[in-house]
Amino acid sequence: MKKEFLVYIAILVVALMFPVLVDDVYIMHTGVLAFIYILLATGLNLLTGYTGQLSLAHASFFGVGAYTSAILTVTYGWGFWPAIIASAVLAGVCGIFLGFPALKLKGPYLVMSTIGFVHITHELFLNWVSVTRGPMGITGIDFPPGFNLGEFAVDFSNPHHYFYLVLFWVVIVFIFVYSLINSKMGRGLKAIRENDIAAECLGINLKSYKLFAFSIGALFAGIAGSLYVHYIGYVSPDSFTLAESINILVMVILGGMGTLLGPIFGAVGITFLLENMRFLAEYRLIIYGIILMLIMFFAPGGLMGYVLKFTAGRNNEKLKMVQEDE
Amino acid sequence: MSILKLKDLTIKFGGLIAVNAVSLHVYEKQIYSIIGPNGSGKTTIFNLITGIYTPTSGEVMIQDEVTSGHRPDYISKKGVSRTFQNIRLFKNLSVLENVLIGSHNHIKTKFIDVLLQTPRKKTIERQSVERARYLLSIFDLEQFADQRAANLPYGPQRKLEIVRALASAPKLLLLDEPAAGMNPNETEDLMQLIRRVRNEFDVTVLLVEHDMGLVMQISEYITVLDHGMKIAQGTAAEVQNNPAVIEAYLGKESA
Repeated sequence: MKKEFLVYIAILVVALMFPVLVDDVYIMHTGVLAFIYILLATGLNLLTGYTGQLSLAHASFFGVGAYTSAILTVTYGWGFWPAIIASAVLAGVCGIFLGFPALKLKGPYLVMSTIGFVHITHELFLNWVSVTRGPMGITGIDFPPGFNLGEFAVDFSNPHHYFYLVLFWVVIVFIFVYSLINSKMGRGLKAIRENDIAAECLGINLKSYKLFAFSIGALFAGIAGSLYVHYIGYVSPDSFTLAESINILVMVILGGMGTLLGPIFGAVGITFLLENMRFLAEYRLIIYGIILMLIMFFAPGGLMGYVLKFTAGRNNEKLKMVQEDE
Repeated sequence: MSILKLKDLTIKFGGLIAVNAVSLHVYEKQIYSIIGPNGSGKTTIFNLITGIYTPTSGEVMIQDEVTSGHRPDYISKKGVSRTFQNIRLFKNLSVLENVLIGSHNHIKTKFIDVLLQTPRKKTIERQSVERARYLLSIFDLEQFADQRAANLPYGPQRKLEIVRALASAPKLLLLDEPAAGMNPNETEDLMQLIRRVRNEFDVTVLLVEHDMGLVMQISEYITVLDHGMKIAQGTAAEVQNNPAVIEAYLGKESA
């Protein structure tokens, strides 16, 4: 238990030091995006990794959050904080809508319905021009208001400062997921993933548990969407496609499904990998594809699965020693 | 007092009548077996009792409440727990977690307790783990507690399913072929365990089993099914000498 917390704190310290150690604005910019993707990947991991419901609709909720924030602040003059809360709530509600077909569907059939969902939301963003301004998108979204921290002026138009805003939400979401997974509810979600019939026969209400997972996963994506538009300053339908959903899913799978740290490594790893390979020009996606295939070949459980395989071996040794002592 | 009543229970799958007007009465703390040749509808009855299937007609009553038509999680909360013929463990979770999920209905922590790591949560969690370990120790599985369930040998996997079912503190425990694939020693062992569990936890046991040695020794009452219909019932001795039962198992004497 304690060792686990040490790892989390070490990672948090590294994240906190990141803007201090990095001067380069471009790297910092990539860092902000990577941490927004952590929120997305963590939400999808809750749904796909822990509850076993494979979804390709995650970009939809990213989009719902992004548009909600954009419309509320630009069209209706809301402030950033109420807007991000509204984005989270609305995305969470949309998640329940996607959850209903999942109560009946499994495996490839569920995936089909989530693909349908992401196309529907994309068309809505594109064609509901009176609200979303269609393909032109919404521009002129302000950075969240800065404030003074003693002598120090926090200015969110600076990526170094914005990073801490994103990190704040990542920490909140991480604590939430950690608590959830280590509770009776989290065990219920995992039970559904492992064997839904057995889970139901032990008193787990499949309907409410699945809807809960869909809703919370979407809610995190809503937060990410809001943080994204307030950072980038505009929003357009092209950001929220099936391809984006797949990108988020790749982060989850590559990092390690059903692990707490997997989505974090996956999101950071892939965001930086894709950015740092830009010098490869037209070969970039080919090399990226090869890297993905190699990782999946050598570490089918993702990066965290690979790490756990080694630590689990050691822990079992320790366990034996403890038992012998007793 | 009766804990389970089936009244004219019937289910049809298309044109096939899998269970045909079966009625039976199980009394508290009884060890009751349902036997019959393959395809006679035994497991289907388990699925009807636990709410996985809804009967075409007839009723399931648990402690005088009609439960047919309710979802399995509701019926689980009424005190019914089961094992499965084809093992359905939570394979990628530890043995201990499997048992803890079994006690889902009885762990009363709220999410907020977990978020704030309240002492309440720690106490409840510690008690649940202690109880889970005790149940594991009865079935001699304690040494596997931290292993993945999928890594267990076959026999222990069957036993783990029983432990998981017991963790929900059921009043009625349904065991679907618990001795399948076990050797005679293991079966003997299992029989002792079933008796011990019944006495220690005051649980009623409803058993579906192919191992006639086990069934005849342990059962206090037996119902025999063939092609979805009840063809006989009674004590082991009564059933063994019933011509209809012999015919169902061995076929009719050639006339």
